[in-house]
Amino acid sequence: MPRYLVERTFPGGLEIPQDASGVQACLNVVDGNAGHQVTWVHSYVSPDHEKTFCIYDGPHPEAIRAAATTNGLPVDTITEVSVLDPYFYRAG
Amino acid sequence: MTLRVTAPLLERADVLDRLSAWWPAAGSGGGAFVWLVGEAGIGKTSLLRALAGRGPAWWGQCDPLSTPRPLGPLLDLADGPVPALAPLLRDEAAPHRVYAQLVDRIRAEPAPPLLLLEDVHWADDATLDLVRFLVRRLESLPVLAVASIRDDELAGRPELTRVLGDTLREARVHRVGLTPLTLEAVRTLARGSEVDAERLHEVSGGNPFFVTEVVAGGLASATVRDAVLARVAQLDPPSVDVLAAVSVAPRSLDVEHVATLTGHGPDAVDAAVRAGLLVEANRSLSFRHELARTAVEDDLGPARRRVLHQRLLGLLLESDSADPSRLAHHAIGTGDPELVLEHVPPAVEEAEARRSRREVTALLDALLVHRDRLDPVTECRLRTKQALALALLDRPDDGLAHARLAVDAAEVLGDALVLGPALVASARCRWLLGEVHVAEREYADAVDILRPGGDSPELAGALVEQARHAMLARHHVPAIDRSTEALGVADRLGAVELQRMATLILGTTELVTGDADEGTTVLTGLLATAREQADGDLAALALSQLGTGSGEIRRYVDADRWLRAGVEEARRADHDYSLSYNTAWLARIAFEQGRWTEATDGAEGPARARGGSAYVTPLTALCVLGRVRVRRGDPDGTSVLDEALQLGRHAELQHRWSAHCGLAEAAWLRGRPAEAEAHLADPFREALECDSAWARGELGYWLWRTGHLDTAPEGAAAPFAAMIGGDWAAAAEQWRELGCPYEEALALAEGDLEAQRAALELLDGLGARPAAQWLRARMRDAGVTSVPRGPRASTRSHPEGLTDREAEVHALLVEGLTNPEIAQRLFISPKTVEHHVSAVLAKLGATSRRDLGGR
Repeated sequence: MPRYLVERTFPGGLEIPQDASGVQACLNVVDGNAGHQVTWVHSYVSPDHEKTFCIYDGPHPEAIRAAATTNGLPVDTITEVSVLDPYFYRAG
Repeated sequence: MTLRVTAPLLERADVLDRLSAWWPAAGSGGGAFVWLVGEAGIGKTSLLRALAGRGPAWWGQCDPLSTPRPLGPLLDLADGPVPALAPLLRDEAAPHRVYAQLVDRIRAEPAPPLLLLEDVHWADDATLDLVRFLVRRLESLPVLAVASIRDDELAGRPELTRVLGDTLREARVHRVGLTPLTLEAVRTLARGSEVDAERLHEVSGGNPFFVTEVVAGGLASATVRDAVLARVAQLDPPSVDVLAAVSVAPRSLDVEHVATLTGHGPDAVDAAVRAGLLVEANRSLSFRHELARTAVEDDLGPARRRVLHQRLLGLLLESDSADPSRLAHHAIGTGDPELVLEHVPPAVEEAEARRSRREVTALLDALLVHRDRLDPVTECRLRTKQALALALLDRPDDGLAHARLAVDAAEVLGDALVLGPALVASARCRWLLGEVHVAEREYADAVDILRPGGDSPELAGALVEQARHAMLARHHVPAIDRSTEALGVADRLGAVELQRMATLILGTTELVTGDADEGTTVLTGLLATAREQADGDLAALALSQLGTGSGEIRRYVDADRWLRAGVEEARRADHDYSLSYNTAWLARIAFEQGRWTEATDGAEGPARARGGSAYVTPLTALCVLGRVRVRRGDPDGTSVLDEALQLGRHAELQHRWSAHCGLAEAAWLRGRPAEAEAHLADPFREALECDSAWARGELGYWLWRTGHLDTAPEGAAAPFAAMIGGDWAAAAEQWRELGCPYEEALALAEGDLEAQRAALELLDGLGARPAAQWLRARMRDAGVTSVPRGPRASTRSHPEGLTDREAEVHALLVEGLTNPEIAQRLFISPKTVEHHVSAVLAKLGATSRRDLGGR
């Protein structure tokens, strides 16, 4: 399944509380994604919480968008990516 | 129970929603009890698991033991979330004390728990008493209790029936039945396997257990079969004989016939019914599931099967009431060529009359098995018929095999009236396989062979097919000429069917390359006739031509109307190809009108039909998918367009030109306009050779856009011609009227600053990032200092002037969510929500959220 980098912008800043409801919010996202065969791997967030860069696995870009709609999340861009690690090619 | 993230249950969303809705909110006092009812294998356990995923769940299970554990489910709870029950259960306290303890524990929970009682049809009496105890206290018991029960296990268990009846009288007790899966869901489950979804749905009755078992193990797989045969083995020989007899009948067997066939009386029948294998209704017996029937039938052994079929056939012929398909079924079952040749042809006729295409091909195969008993002309005609039937079932490669055999044999026979139609059938299969030029030649050959013989239905038929081919090639004059000639021959012969076909082609040709109104009139007239005569096939065709033809010339209101009606009609007429094609075209319309999510949603299904031999539908759908991705800047746009063009490498231009333009557009958006020419040069040449104004227009436009063309080609569609000619305002106006926002934006982009701002708003609204980026860059390069920022910063055209975020908050407000709930849903802080709510109230002139329907 392809991996995608999804950029999102949250004007005013994204906020997820650090308690049970925050856990639930994230689990709800996972549930919402599941309906579209989309898996949220992890995200990078800017310090002001206004931009996120989210790594997702999904069958195609439309599934990413549909999952985003289900979960009420914005989508700026979608780029297909694969991982490149600095030490990936080092022998031994 | 851990939360497992799996693919969702099919067609259970509304049930889950209903169940979730009954889950009491914290602090609200009363609870609910739900009986989840359904047959074995319908998915009760799966549903409970899905429900359990939504919150803390207390599971208790009843066991299929002849002496069940007393209070078995509570033992499960004692081991898990309610340890307080353990000492009471160990000490065998009086049941009501155990119940009371459970109730106390439930009330002590911070949030109402989900209490799941599984398989209550196996419950002991104490557990049933527990159910009554809970139900009596629901008013003050914050819990959602769900009990699953097999309603097909109620017979002979009066205590279950009583508890159901008693409890369902209470206000807070509900009954939810699980329904079998629809064909769509079965299709989803069968995706990726060899199993035919329609047959599976029919055979399994939509029972999810059976469906998934079969998908895993193949039709009449070993697991289901073994289960059935194990049950059969428990019966005594007379009942097994009864099962054998019923298994040989396709749907059911009259009880009287069973007696005659087996020599056994009602006791044997009753035993089989009690064992749950047979069902009796209206004095006839059938297996509860087709899978069970096939399992028993297969196990019979060929000799015994043949004998049973023979006896049944004899019985049916005597009674004189059986329909042709039943007689055919048994005749085929005997394997006797004489019986087959006698009884199958009437069934073929009946199946054709009922438009049961699958039945037709199966019956024809059964006849062709005995081809050494057929005379050559009959064999030719049967194969020709089979070729056409298979083509209609989207199996043109199989059809072509039959057609080739028919053509070769007919050439030897030297009979033009047999050879002509065989060539036509071959040509149709070849066209569906993409061998367009060979098909063209075969059509022409057929006409040439038949013309010398004067007027004949075969000649009219061949002319119609040739005309259709010209129409498809968008060669206006030949299409008009041939269809007119065909109409003449058909009129003289009084051949109504052929008259209609010729009219259809004439109408379509006028619509797409001639006078559109005239064409529409001709086709709607035909549609009216089709409806009068209840001719589903003709109606489907007329609607398809009206829909796709109107769509091709961008008459969207008409196209939408006709395509939707076409989808309905295709479903009714069992016309798979037409259904898929219409759906793909609706997706194309949505794409061209800027409804991109609708477009990709619609294209998904038809696009997956790639891999089959018919390419036009997936080609159309993939083109939509690819072009949307290109316009959005999403990945895999051009690769999908490449795939589409690979699929359609033999296709006529009208199926391809959009994909060629999509690739050119992608190159342009990537800042590599020079690459576009490679995509456009050949198709543009083809466009100049055919009569489609829109092909010339769109291909010409992208050549101009990428700097490879100066003037509009002759006869190019008006809005494109205007764009190329520099009249951006006229073009924009025409695109706006047509309802094509993206093209409107591209036209406005050529205009003054105000037009460009309008273009940006359109592009941002569509989510057309690459084009918006291009335009912004262009404006900055031209020295424009105040280029409007991206979509988030703008207030899109919300009627009350709300920003996007405010509109989202408003929507959730109206749904009745509290501020904390809204904050959680939108991943923002409650403070921000308050801010937005104030703004929304102010802009809408409301004083409180209750004014807007909120809480």
